[in-house]
Amino acid sequence: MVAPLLVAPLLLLFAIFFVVPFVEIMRISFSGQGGALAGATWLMSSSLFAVIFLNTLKLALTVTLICLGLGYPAACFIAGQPASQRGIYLALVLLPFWTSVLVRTYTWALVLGREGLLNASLIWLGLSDEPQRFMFTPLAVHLGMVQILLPVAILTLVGVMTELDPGLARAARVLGASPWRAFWHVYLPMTKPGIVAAAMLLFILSLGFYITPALLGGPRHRTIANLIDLQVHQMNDWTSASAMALVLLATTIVAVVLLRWLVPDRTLHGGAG
Amino acid sequence: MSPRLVRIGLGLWFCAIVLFLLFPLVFLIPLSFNESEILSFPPTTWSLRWYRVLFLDTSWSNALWLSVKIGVLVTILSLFIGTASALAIVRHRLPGAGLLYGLSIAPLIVPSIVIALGMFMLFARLQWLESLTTLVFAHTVVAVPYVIVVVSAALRNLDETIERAARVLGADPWRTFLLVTLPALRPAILAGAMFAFFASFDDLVITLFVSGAMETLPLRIWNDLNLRLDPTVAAASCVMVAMSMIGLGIAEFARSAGLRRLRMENTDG
Repeated sequence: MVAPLLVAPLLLLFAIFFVVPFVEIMRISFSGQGGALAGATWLMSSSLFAVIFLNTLKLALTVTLICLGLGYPAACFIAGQPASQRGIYLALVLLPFWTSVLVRTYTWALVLGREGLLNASLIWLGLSDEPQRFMFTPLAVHLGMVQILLPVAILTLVGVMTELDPGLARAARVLGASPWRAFWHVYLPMTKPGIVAAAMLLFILSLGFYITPALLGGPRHRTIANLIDLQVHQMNDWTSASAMALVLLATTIVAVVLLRWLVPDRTLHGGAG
Repeated sequence: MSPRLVRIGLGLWFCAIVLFLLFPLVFLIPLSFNESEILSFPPTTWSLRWYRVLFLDTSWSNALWLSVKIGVLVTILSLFIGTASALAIVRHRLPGAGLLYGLSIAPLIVPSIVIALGMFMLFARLQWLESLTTLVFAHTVVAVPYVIVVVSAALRNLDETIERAARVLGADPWRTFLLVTLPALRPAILAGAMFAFFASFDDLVITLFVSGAMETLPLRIWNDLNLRLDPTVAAASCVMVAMSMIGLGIAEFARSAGLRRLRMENTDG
């Protein structure tokens, strides 16, 4: 009898502030001024949506791959440390992870701006005569997003790597495998569930990015999240915004389902089912 | 390639990554103490000018105060709702507990722009926008999952026989919770509180959609960024970073204290 009472507040909160808002998105996307299919028609006919949706997917994919590439060796390093010292190295990754996304994005605007640190150093070093344009380029968006998501990649990978038996890679070495073969045929396959989990998680998180593309990418490098905001706040077109929100949500759900299918539950929750 | 060389290579790689991750934050500190209006590096004259603006200018100090107020309210709400739900999910073997756990972490997976849009359109119709209550509950939706994750993980690791022993010795369920379960969960609850506070304190997207003219600190920064790069933003950012560091410190301390106690209890028998 106690259990339903204990979850009642949560269910009430989620009903009003999570489920009903979602139903409202469904309702509005299927009941605009142009009838039930107004939202869908807008999605099909808008070239802006097509371009931005593809760009969002592409951005999420490249950011995911860059984070994995940069994060894997760093995670190997942390996992290779004795357990008692791991905390110090993890703290160095947790520190930026705990800092506001807005603040971290803002600092990149200061570094990459016309009078920013990067341009000042380039001119001071004599590598450039005049300020280069770094803001509002794909480079700026990628730098900002990678800096924000890299800790997620490293923390996920370290979680998987520390649960592995290091004896197996050592056994391969003892049996005569070169370090490269031991890594490629033993260590890497063992970390594969972690890589897949990290990749899906990074992809899901990058899909919804709003702040970083808005500040560092400007109007020419919008994501779906930026376009939703634009449709609501500038165009006052709720139907198309809702339709896009549904597409974004559907993409996220597909990624989550894929993740659950590809990775056993154990890897995701660290052993506690 | 010898293993030693590999280890040195990985170490260097890790150093480079940490530099990349921390560099923008370290760069922020000298900028916030710069006297000049223009954000130039390195600063020529040092001063606390922008911190004075942050704490004395009403539009900035009100925003900071509002953010702290909302953060505290969200934390309290999330702790109550989250701990109760974690207990129901882990201890009371509710039918569909797995599904409930999935639902409770859904707000962390669904892009916040989707949640924000739904809330905005619904609350516009109900005329709930621009209210402190709405903002607090809206933030609680994205803060409570952290408490549930952290507290239910701690509950799973907590030996249930201790609680059962208390019951057998005559304590009622409420006393058992207060005197046995709650003290054991304290580190997890403290860590969950930190997560919940910063989920609210750092939120921009949901606030942007439902707060109307009410300005929290991130929204104040955001509105300023779209006009010009005012050095007050650098000072405000430094304050936010400092607060996050303190929060991380508390959460980590709570976690290691919890681990230490667990280890001691294990070695005691």
